[in-house]
Amino acid sequence: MMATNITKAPILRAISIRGYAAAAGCPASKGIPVNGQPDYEIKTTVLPNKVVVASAENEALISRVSILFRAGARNETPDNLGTTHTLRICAGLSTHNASQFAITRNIQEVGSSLTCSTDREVVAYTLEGTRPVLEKTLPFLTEVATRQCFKPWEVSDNVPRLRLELATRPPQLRAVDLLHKAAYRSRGLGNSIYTAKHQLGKISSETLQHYVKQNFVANRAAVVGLGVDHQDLVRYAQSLQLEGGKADCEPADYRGGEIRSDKGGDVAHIAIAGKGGSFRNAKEALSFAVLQRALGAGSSIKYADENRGLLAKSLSKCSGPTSITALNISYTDSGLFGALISTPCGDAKTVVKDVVDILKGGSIPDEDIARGKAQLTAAVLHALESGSTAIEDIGNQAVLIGSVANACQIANAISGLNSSDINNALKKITSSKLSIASVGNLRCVPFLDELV
Amino acid sequence: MAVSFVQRRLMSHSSLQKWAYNLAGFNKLGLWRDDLLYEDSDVKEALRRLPQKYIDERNYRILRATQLSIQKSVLPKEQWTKLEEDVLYLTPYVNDVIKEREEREEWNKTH
Repeated sequence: MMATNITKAPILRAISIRGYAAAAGCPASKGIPVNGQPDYEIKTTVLPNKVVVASAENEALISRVSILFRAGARNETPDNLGTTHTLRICAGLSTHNASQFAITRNIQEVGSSLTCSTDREVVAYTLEGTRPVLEKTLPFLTEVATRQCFKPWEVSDNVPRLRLELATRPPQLRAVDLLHKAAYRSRGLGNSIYTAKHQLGKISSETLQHYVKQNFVANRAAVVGLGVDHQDLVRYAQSLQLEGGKADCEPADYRGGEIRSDKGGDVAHIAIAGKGGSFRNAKEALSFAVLQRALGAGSSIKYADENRGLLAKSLSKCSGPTSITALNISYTDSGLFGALISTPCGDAKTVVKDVVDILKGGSIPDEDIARGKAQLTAAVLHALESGSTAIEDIGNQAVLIGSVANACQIANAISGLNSSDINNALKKITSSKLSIASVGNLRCVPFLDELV
Repeated sequence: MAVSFVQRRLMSHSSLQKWAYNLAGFNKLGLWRDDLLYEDSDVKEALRRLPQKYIDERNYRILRATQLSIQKSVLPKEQWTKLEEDVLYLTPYVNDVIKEREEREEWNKTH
């Protein structure tokens, strides 16, 4: 495409835009939202090689396809810690059939986007683009997700990007990362999602290739699509020719503990948690999610002074800007539930003690539970409505649980919960050993044995 | 055993090739063919990608040859490089670099 000046003349641009909107078959003229129908039906197939294929035709203008593997940071072993972080940075580098230049330029040229996201459990490669061009760029998704080369010089050329990511992490993120290390010790779910600084440059091409060979296997893979035909996606998933491999990693083992990372400054960021809900027990996972919103997890209205949750009680005692939000993280076989606090360092002791009192408290009033249920339903419906959050959610369900529930089923499940479910969830925290991770100026942050 | 037999057959050089190689004379200084590549930008990029082991060996050979050149002497005959020992360690990297550059230029012509 040659850059031309012709489209910059205002009158010609107006004509071209109007022309497109009136084009036959454009969803706006049929009354379908541009982002697609929100009440799409999800079709799931499990291939003979155990790959889960799930897709929904929501008639959106943008189609999205995602390849996911259960190959997140919990599968790292002590000698290859930080591999998933490096994998994410190295997504899009040369593959067996396409060079880095070819991948980037071909995808850019048609206006698509290719992203890689990693997690403690999942590594996902997502391709999003307009319908007519998605098929043309799917081969690049296959290349990037399954046929990486990891040329040594390309990997080492990207170490500065790793360094930048490590340097630009906000301290709250570090606190939650360390919380996992405190809760699960230094293995499995306790592994950090980031490379340690001493590992920079030490993750070699062979380590990456070995990790991919071991973990990007068919029985831990899912291919999901939004705005694509199901049979086409099944054929695409079969063409990936993924091989079987070893089954999942060890089960998670919640232990509890504390980690303190003294960095100075004026603020203390503290993440506290007890053992939370896992996806295996869907009812429990949803109860913890409702509990999170009942306790207070961010405001629903921008710029509003809205401090409704139970955790907000300590805010009045603080001398400076403070943020207390409930934390709920669920994995396949374990979870963390607690709170994330950012507070001026002098107030840390009072705030932490108040939050722990609420967590170990006892029960939540019914109106907070009702509010929690309403907020959670809204959040779920928003996330699954359309777009990148929808494909991410569907993908996570497909790869972690094996089946995908649509938004209505989840909303019904939430409204089916009653107060005793939520209060039972809270009681589980009361009886579990706490984990605490703190980052920042820790002079007033209490130790774990001072809190129990 | 069978494998090494096949390898030797594929890699055996004709007498003409051996004669031409010895006539060139750089093997008397202990150099290999890839040590003598003119360092244009493609070769420089290929050298950047070369594993450290080959770079160290290359530097040693070049240094030894420079020293011999200063002293206006050559290596003893037993140490002259033989055509069979002369491995093209850099040429595959150079070819890849050239292919990548041509891909970029081709793309820029049409986009």
